[in-house]
Amino acid sequence: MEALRHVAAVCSWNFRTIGTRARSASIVVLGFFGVVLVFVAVLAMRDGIAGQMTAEGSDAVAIVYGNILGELTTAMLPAVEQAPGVQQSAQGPLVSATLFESLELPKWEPGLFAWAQLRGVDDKFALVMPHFRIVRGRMFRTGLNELIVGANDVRLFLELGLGKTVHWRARNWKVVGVFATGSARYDSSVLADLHQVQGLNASGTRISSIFVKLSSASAFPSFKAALEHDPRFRASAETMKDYEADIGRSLSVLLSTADGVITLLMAIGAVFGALNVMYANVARRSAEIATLRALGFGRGAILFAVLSEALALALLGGALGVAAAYLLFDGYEASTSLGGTLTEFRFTVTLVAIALGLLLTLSMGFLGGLFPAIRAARLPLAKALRDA
Amino acid sequence: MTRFGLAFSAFRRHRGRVIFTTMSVAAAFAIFTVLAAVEEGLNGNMSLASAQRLNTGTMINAPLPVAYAATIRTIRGVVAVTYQSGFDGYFRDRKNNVGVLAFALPAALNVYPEFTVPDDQKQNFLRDRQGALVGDVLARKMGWHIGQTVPIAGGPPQKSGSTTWTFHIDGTYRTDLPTGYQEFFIVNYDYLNEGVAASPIKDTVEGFTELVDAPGDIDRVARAIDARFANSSPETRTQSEQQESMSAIRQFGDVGAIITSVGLAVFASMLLITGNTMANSVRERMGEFAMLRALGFGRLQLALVVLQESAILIAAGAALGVLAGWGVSRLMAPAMSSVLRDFAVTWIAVLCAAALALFFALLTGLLPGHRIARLEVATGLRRA
Repeated sequence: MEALRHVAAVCSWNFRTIGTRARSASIVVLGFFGVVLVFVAVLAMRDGIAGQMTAEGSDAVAIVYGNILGELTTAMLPAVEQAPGVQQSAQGPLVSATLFESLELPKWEPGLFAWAQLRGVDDKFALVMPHFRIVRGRMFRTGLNELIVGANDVRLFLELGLGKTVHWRARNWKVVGVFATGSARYDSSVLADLHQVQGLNASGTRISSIFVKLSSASAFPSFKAALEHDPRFRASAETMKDYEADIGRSLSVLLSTADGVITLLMAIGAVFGALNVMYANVARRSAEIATLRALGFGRGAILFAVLSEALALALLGGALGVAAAYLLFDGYEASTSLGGTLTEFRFTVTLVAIALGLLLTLSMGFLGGLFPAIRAARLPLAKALRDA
Repeated sequence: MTRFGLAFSAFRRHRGRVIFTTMSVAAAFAIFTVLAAVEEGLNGNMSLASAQRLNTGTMINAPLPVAYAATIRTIRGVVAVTYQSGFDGYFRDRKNNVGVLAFALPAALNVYPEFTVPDDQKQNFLRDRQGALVGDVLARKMGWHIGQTVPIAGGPPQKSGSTTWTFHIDGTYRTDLPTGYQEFFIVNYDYLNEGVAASPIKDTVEGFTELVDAPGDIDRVARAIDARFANSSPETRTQSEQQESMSAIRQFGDVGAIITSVGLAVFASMLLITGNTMANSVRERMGEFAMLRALGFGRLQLALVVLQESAILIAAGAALGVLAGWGVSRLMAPAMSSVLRDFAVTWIAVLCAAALALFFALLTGLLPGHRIARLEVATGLRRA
């Protein structure tokens, strides 16, 4: 009990005098602030990409693609429709054929061009794609050169506004609607009638993938097995969830690696900075500390006071860093290339990232405070008092 | 005592401070070095051969008739043409992916000088229609050896109906290109195309690659190729390899810009913090300097001691940091090269780091040095 009261007394004295060390304390706080800010911001970027690749329900949608370029055609649709696990509806089995195209368009920023993904889709796509809805305007009409634009592409590209006309491959395409799905790459794409897109070139009945709505996520293994063992064609199937996650993975790995390495280097810098400041503090205050010890306060109380100062500064810096990352970056919109398409995504600061950020700052504070605290506790009394 | 001696004896007495400051500077410069490698990955330049290569495909990822090759060969400035198709097969188990790349031979080996093959293996491969040239990494992964016959499943149906193709491993190639390029399974296009059963993919290719006589000629040749097929179906789209990777990088866009700008802000703030700490430490030692002045050291002499002290600390920290950054970049390279193909630390980056270190040393040395030069002995001693 006595020991506890000592600890409390020394700590409170220590915190009340922190104003006299404001300058050096602010250096420690600033260092930790920077580390945590960058750490959480890059995690937010990574989590944003990973979290927005697909929406709920995408594990019950299969994507069928050919193993060889140019081999998949609409002739294979009946075989896919008869595979086990395909969801039935009033319009027949929920199977939709799509064909990719890319078109190079100017972005909103003057002088910049980027590739937008155009998908030729048939009329069942709206039923197969989870959470598909028309936000403004209307669906394109079959047989016409009309486009509907993903909610993100409207913001990214100059010419993709509702009611505008895009000149592409010797035809004029009218933008008649805006759609959203909640899956990043699809919301950053443009849809048009499959037959209009096929008709642009001699690709005939060629398609690039088939989207299949399954009765449930658990129906996928038998669907995949039936399809991949069908001797009539060779195609692979994956759930939309896995397919999209795969596309996001290389960027995810890159961001995790970069975040880990840069955070580690910054943390090393910040810990050494803190050590520098805390050691200097102990040295400057050796007379005060020795006096306390002479008054009967124990080594433990001194150690705890110095360590708790470092932890408090670290927590302050870390909390400010997390707050700044949240205010600056949560919901921040950025775009990057995923699977060949310019894709827009929003940064997401997750609770896990916040917890990791605080854990990081506390460990840095502990490392930066422990050794100076030990030195303070072991200060040779007589010498310190004489030097003062 | 020499000035050097003075600076070093100061270091000896504040060993902790010297180590911590050096490490802080080192951490900042390590970050700078890693960021420079990222930046290089974003803007890197390609190999010499790459500057002379064009890729012809379509706007729509459709196959092209192999007959286009004969037309492309007649275009002025085209030195060699190769074309490729292929399939994603597997060896024994679906988990053992094998990317089979069927090239027009021997043109492909001239167009891609980056793939190095021992001469005798190359000759064997070119003589053997059923031969395969395997990336050394892939061969090691699968446990293959030269002379082995391997079945690759998951290909297009042959005339017999089988989708498993058999190849002889005639050689392995090595390349300095990023990891993805080290795992190809290169085979003869003619063998694959003749064996394949009648289907829409017969006599088609995924694309053509042309070697152009001079880098300066590349845009004209690209336009000439597309003009020749302007009214054919399908139309072609020809781009230089550099243009392709440029647009890939441009698309990487915001993410790259955010990483580098945030990182540079961190670098700058870390240096500021360290600079502040160093200035502080000089202020704390004012008494010592006043004493030295009283002993007869000149103002300029003492200012130089301080300048020298910060120069030594920063030089050591920067050197250590760049070295650490280089080592870390080497370790990161496998993970990064899938997105940033030229991720590496260049000499230019090292020179930039050196220039920054010099500037920083002057900054952190001159300000306290200036203070010391103006120090009044009496005030300084009273403070001590």
